[in-house]
Amino acid sequence: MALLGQYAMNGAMLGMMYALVAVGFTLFFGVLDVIQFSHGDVVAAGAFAGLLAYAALTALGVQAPGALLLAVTLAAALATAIVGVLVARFLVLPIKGAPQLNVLLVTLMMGTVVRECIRLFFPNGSQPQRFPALLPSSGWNIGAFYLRFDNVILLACGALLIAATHLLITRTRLGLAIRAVAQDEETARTMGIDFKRVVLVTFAIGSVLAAFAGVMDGLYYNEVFFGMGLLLGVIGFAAAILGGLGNLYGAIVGGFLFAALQTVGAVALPFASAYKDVFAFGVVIVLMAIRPTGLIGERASERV
Amino acid sequence: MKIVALVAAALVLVWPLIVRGPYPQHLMILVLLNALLGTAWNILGGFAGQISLGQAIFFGAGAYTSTLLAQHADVSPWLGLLAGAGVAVALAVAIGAPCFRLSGHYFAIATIALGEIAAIAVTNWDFAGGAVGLFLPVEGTGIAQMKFDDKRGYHYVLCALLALALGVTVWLRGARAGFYWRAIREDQAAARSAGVPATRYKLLAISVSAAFTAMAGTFYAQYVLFIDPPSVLPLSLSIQICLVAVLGGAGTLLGPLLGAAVLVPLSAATSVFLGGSGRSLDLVVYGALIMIIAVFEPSGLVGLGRRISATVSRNFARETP
Repeated sequence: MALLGQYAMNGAMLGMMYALVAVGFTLFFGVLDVIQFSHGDVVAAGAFAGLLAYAALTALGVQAPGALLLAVTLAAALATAIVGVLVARFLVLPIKGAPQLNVLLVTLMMGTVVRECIRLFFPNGSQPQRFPALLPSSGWNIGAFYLRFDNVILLACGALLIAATHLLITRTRLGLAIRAVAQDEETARTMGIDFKRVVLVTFAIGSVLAAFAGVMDGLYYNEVFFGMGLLLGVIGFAAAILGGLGNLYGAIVGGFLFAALQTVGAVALPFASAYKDVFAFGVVIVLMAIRPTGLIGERASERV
Repeated sequence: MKIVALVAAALVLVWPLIVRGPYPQHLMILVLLNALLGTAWNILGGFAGQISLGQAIFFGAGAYTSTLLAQHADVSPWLGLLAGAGVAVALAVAIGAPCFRLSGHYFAIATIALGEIAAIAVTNWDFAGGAVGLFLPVEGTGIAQMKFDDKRGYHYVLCALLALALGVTVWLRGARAGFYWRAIREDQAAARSAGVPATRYKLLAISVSAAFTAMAGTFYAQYVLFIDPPSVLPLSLSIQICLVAVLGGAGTLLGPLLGAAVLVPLSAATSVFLGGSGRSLDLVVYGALIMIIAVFEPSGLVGLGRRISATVSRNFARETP
């Protein structure tokens, strides 16, 4: 029972990270119909920017965990927002009319560049880096299951962020503009929406969500690695298409579903736990073949 | 254009006879290997329009099948080459049957996921050497063993494989399959409604592509004599294969050759000049160069070449009224 609770908690944490990454993919696809494949490495960039801020502040003598956590999060968000906007402005927008494959390749190479830059320019970057534990490590005992405060805080923050994104998209003028561009770029332009600005802002929002996923990953595992973004990116993308690319709720459902599949693969199946990703991706491919428009269907089946 | 191609082909054929250094010979083998892989990708991605980012699966299938057969049953690499191609075709059909319901990006991403699955599976498969990898048994050299004392033998084996792949490409391009593929690439729904059996022809494309990719994998194993998942099954290999074809010019016969001729020296140059000293910047520069080429020349180097030759001929036309 306690073990089951532990697995459920771990699955929920993973699901939240995947959902945050998947929402980014889905937002980018919504406004530009492109797949930003360096998104996973933006996650890593966020985590490492947070780590840099932590190192800088502790060198200055700041000790309060609250202040440090705030600084780490802000630095991560700022760094990813900048990377996201630069990618959109200088890589994705200029080749919007080119074959989509070029966008895929360009962003894949951008991911390589970001990854290699972390490895090279972060001190001792080719080794996994310890990520500071900035949240209280105490918790409650519920029966035999130990519920840690930090996990609860992370999950709550993730849920709040997703809710905030949802409100931003559905309740604000900016969100209206984003939805208009997603639905029909030409019409949105004729209605006086600044297309370029909307795209850049959307990339900033999606990338900031990725920053939180990165910081969350660091705080949860207490370790970050320059190559952590590659698998996170592929999983986040798989989650986004599992739910239905372009659909915010689909991305969230897809993220948690993928984490659930991994957990089931690791716990319930009789293979070595190394095969949990094999199992999860296998199920995703079968689901994609059965429902090519995703679990939460999009307005039109653009992918078949 | 034809003259340039013929001169290049002649140069490739005499290269190992006139260039004696092992490194330039090795570079030319890498160019030819990438050209073969790009040509194989091009059949599926360029002509049939199905973007695969999982070609490493087939490359690995060729490398592992022939090596395991040689280790356990003493099978000649030439038979291993055919067996590897057979295994790759079986995998290709197994992959294509469900995944061809997806199109465009979705197919590409599915192949990425499958490639990762293959790498994880082989890494945890002890019979296939797992993470440790496999050494090839060497029982002498010569054409029957597909192993040679110097690089010349490898060079000509690869030339033959590449010629075969190009020949098959030319043949299929002009046959019914080629027309069907182009119809599917341009608009699958329209092709279907005109009576093109799209799924069957896409399966043909992925099978041919997989077979040649697997042959390249078998060759690679004979050349390097050691295989493990990071060397024959990485995502970076799948991306490199796609880059060679796309930057050269997808859907053209010579594009992958041009792409290989440019990318391999570029990659070698960045790692020679920027790598090594511990802070290897080569991948960063390589990635940045690829981004620049793709942003400024979306139709690939063949497109750039065409534009240049169009400008040249226009200028000539102006001078000679």
